[in-house]
Amino acid sequence: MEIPVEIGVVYEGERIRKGEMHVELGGPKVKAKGELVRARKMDEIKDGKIEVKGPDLSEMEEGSRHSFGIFVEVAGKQVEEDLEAVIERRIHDYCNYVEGFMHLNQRYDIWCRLSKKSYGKGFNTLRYLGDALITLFKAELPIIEKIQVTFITDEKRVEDFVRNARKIYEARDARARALSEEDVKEFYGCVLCQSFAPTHVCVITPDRISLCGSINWFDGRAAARVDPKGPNFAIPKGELIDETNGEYSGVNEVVRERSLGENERFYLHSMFSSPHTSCGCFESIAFYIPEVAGIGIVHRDYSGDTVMGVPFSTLATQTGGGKQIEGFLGMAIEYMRSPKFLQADGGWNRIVWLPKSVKERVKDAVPGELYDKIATEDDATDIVALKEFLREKGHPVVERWVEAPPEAIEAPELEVMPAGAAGGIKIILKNAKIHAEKVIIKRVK
Amino acid sequence: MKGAGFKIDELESDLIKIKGLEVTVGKFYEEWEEVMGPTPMPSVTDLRGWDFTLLNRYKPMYAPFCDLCCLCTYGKCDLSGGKKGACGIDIGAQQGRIVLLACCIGAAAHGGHARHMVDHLIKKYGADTPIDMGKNVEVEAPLIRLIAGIKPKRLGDLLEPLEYAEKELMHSLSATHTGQEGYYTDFESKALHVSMVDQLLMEIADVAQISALGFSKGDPDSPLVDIGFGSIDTKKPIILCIGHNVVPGAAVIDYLQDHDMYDDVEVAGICCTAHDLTRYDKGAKIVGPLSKQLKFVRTGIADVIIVDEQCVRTDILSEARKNDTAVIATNDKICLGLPDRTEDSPEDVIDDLVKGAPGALILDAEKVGEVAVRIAIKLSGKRKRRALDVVKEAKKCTQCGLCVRECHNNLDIPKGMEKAAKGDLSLLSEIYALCMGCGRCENVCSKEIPIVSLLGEAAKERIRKERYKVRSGRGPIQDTEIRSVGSPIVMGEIPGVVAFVGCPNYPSSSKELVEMAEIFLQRRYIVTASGCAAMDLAMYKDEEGKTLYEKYPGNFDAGCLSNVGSCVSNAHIAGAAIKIASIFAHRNLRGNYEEIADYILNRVGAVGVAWGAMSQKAASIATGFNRLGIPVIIGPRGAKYRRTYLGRADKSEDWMVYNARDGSRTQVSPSPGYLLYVAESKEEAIVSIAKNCIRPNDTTKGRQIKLAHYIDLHKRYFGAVPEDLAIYIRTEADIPITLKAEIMDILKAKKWKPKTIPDPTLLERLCRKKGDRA
Amino acid sequence: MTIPWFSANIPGPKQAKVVTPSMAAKIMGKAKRKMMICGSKIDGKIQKHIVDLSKEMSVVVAPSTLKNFSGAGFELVAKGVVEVTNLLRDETWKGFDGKGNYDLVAYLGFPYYLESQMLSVLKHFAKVKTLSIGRFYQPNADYSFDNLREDEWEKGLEDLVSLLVGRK
Repeated sequence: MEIPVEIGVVYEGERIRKGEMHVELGGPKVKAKGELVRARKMDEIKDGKIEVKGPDLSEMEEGSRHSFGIFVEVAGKQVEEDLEAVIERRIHDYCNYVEGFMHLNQRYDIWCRLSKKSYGKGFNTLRYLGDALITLFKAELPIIEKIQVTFITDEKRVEDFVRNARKIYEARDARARALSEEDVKEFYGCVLCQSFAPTHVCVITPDRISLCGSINWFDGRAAARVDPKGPNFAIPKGELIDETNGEYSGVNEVVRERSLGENERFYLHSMFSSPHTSCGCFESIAFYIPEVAGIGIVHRDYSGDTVMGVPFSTLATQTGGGKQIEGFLGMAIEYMRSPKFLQADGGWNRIVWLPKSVKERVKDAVPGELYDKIATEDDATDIVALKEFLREKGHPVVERWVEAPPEAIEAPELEVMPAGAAGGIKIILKNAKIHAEKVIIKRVK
Repeated sequence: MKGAGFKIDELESDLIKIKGLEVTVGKFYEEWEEVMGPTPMPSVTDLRGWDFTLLNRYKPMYAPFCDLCCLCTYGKCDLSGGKKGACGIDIGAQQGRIVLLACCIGAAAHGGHARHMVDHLIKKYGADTPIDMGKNVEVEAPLIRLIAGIKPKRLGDLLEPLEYAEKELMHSLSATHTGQEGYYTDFESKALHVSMVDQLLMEIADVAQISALGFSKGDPDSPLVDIGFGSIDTKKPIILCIGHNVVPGAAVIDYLQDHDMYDDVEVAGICCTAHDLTRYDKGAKIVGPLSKQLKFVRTGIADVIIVDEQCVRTDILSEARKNDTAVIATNDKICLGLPDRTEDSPEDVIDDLVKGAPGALILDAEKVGEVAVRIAIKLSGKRKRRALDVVKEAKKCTQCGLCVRECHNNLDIPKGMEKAAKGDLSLLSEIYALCMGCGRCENVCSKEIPIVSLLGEAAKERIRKERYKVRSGRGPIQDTEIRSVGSPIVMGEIPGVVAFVGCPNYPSSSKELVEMAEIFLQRRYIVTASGCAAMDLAMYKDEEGKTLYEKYPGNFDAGCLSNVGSCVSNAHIAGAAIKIASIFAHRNLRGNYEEIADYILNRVGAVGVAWGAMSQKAASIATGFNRLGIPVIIGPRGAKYRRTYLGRADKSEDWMVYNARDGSRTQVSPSPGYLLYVAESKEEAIVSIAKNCIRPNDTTKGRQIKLAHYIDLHKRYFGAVPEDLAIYIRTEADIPITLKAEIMDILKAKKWKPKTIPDPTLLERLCRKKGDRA
Repeated sequence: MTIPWFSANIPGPKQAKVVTPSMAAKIMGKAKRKMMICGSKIDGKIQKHIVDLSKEMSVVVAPSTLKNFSGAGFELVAKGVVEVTNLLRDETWKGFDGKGNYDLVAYLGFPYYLESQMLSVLKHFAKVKTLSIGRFYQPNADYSFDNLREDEWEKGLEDLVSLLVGRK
């Protein structure tokens, strides 16, 4: 079937304004809309089948809005339920590759438009869209051996479809939340960023999303299945060496190999000793504050000064480039929601400062009794105030302050070190000239 | 920090007896954690090895503009047909020499500007004024760190790299003297060197003015300001600033603000001074780029013209006289034969100018501020502006056609005159829109028709509508912006970075530039701009009446258009590329030029476009980007620069790199295919931009999106799938999924075999040897 | 001496020999490996001549004009003029057909100044002979048409084609 419009990634950024649209499918003005991918057994579906339940594009009035459901069923030896969400997110990309077709949002919130221009070119049935989806799914994800697509535009039927889909989304989310490192045999590695940071490797587990926040365990699994030799690959987790730190023999092996020998071991859940490395695209950075023996976090979009008196951009230069730097950890914001979040270092009990906007964003993950004890820019903008705040609120970190809390380090001043050791010796210089090419002034330790 | 010392003639104590002791210290360096790289403040030959690596792959192709050499009294020497000059030079070396000379001139222009700026700002605000590039800019001066190996903290710290640059410029220029350098590759190496120094100088100038004059410090939401003839309020006294050094113009604004008169006087600019005026104060207006200079001066709208330095018409005085506009020269570069009135009282100067003296040289910015404002007010509305009868003038035209031959774009002026003589001014008005404003047509007109003025008069209505918005120059790219585009680049969501820079000597309408930029904006490239190009990008509205700057945000991000600012702000575009290496790979910048340039050449998918490049500054800017590993595409007139740097995609041996993972040699796709390329047409440029965003390190997803755009643009503009497609596909995963079936057939026909994707470098020293791995 | 169309474009003592269409046809006829390089400024009228000339020689067209030649019925190469000119100065280059470099190239349809610069490249750095058959005198070529009126030029091209193609 010859699709009358072009298909290409170049159409991805295309927006179809109201005046240019032929019809709207889903969107804020219709109640029922949604999309769903289900993994099926090989004999359950018919490859290439496309169905339209309800009126098709040619039967819709120009300028009208319709309920809309996209139901994609896939099968293949390597296709499993765990990959459904990953496959489902591709619907958005693929729909947008179609010239004159716009797709926004996901799940029960989709919003699509078809342009008048594309309709005019003969794009008058959703079958074309189904055909494009099938071609693209098979081209990008060869693990899909069979695929069938059903479009639903009949309001009643879309309602039923979405009701059922919501149950599946919920079950899927529950599984994702419950899944932990103990439940799986494999983690996934990501070396996409090696194109810019040649020795950095990201280790992705059910408890640790990639530090850019873009690839979770399920994404890694899907990508590794499609192209096991590609930039996302399976890491057999091997032996659990240290539960608290999150150290695995399999991870260490891969880190050694993929970092080209630069790094030997990774603690997945600690920012000390052998922290996970980063490239430069981490969403946030955790930094140790020795004066209070606690950990602060700041994210990229926070442009103010942190409690250290410097902004994100300054702290961020401390890490990156695939180097292990103790006391600094680049991480995704989502990692704060992990049950294993910095567990070796005390987890949330150790977090003493973070910008208000992030604190609100991850509120559900912060243990209730701690929420008010963690300072934001409203509570403290320097170490002295932070110390005061923590003491006043009774933050658990205060217990770590044995005797007096460590003194804040004042900004060291530059001083030329005294030469010393001249006592008692008489030096006579006559017509001496001393010239130093350069004098390096060192900070007093 | 400068050196210090002390002398003790005689001292005697119990412990020590000294006679005639002198202790001196050359230089103090504050400890900076970053290890010093191999080439802090490199000499002319320190990076010669890197230059030769580049020149070996991207061989210069020379197009002599002149077969002769007329630089010494042996000459003229004819160098055609393999002949050598009296000094022994051949035509190839002579071209390298001229290119070096152009780059020296360019660097000297920025250097003179930087020197004036730094000295002035230190005098006015003090050497201890902190260097401040804003909160999200940790690497405050990437080029100064990279080239000079220092981390400037105060204005005074800029003096050392400035002195270094001045020294290098002297050495480079001296190599063009008769009987010095004799081989083209070494001329080129020096051209690359002095152009690197040029980048350093641009950064010094801009870092100084951003820090001391309160310009935007990397703000993506810098204000939208007015641009275009039509935005100038002609009812007010008008002061026009032309050039590149904002100091006198800023003094005008200061004077107006101090005297509560800013609402009563228009301050407008042409060329980069205009950009910087709006960075100083958003109330200033931009008339437009360089191409508007003669046109605007001829209208006689300006009451006073202040010229500072660079790109000012050298006949500005006689042009201004045509409408009795007063001219104030303010800079040692441009004195125009005017009397030096720096020490005279403002009253005396004002008096003379009002009485009709053509102009004054005033080398004191504050005095310029006062004098300019007071004369503008006095002259406003009182000058006699010569009326022009277009029809009458047009009737003089004999249709000889000499003007067309002389015109850059061979515009059909005679036909315009023919119609105008009959009262129809429409064609002259159209020609006005395409005219680059050089005025050469008038020189050859036997009837002495003031053609440029006629065009302006005919286009009155068009001019009134020239009212647009441009985003004021934002200065540096924030480190955080670079971090946030890292992931989408490796994930294949952003195909590349395109920078539109340079002068307005376009081969056709300036609208072509807008079209090019919008294509890449719509395709979610990161688009950035500077200088006159950044202005021309504003001077076109879509059907909804919006300019590109109103349609696309000012961030350094996918589908965004950032205007970094004036010519010297080009340093921030280079700086952004450099910062990628420090941010993502934690590569040291300090004195580490070669490694970073190698990193950029092999990894950073950025392309510069100088569609209307005209000046020697544009030559040094492009060459500076080239040494840093960034390819530049120039318009057809760029062929007159005499030299391109072209790779040969058909020679596989030219595209071998080291795989830094194990030191093995691998062949990579030939991209960037050129370092300096002349595109004949906008279409050729567009496709070339997309192709030259490809880099050997691309992730497969990254390569997919780059190829998707290359193929799509090639099909769209050339009507076919690119012939060379197969050489850009390393593994099947590089193939854009929407084209998989089609491309697999092509690959099969070409007997394509998959290749490895290396960790690419041209520097053997950066490789891990086999066995290095633990 | 003919004055270059853009009068300041005087490169030096060595300047192109002005040739008539019939002389140009002779020069082309004698050449063993000849090629024509066409620029972006090709309209329908000229295109017809190019299609005819393609029977006699290899043709390279500006990529931006490739679309217009689709279905013209001959094999052509689309390449930027800078790139082609660069190849021509390499004696070891094997040509687009693998049979070696060329001995004569004709330029047509370029902005005047760009063609002038490309001819200059070959004048100084290549063995290949150059012929400019555009409307205006190009001093950097070995042989060039004179400055012509539009009608003179069109006639000239027609004569050239008929002499060359009709000769056989």
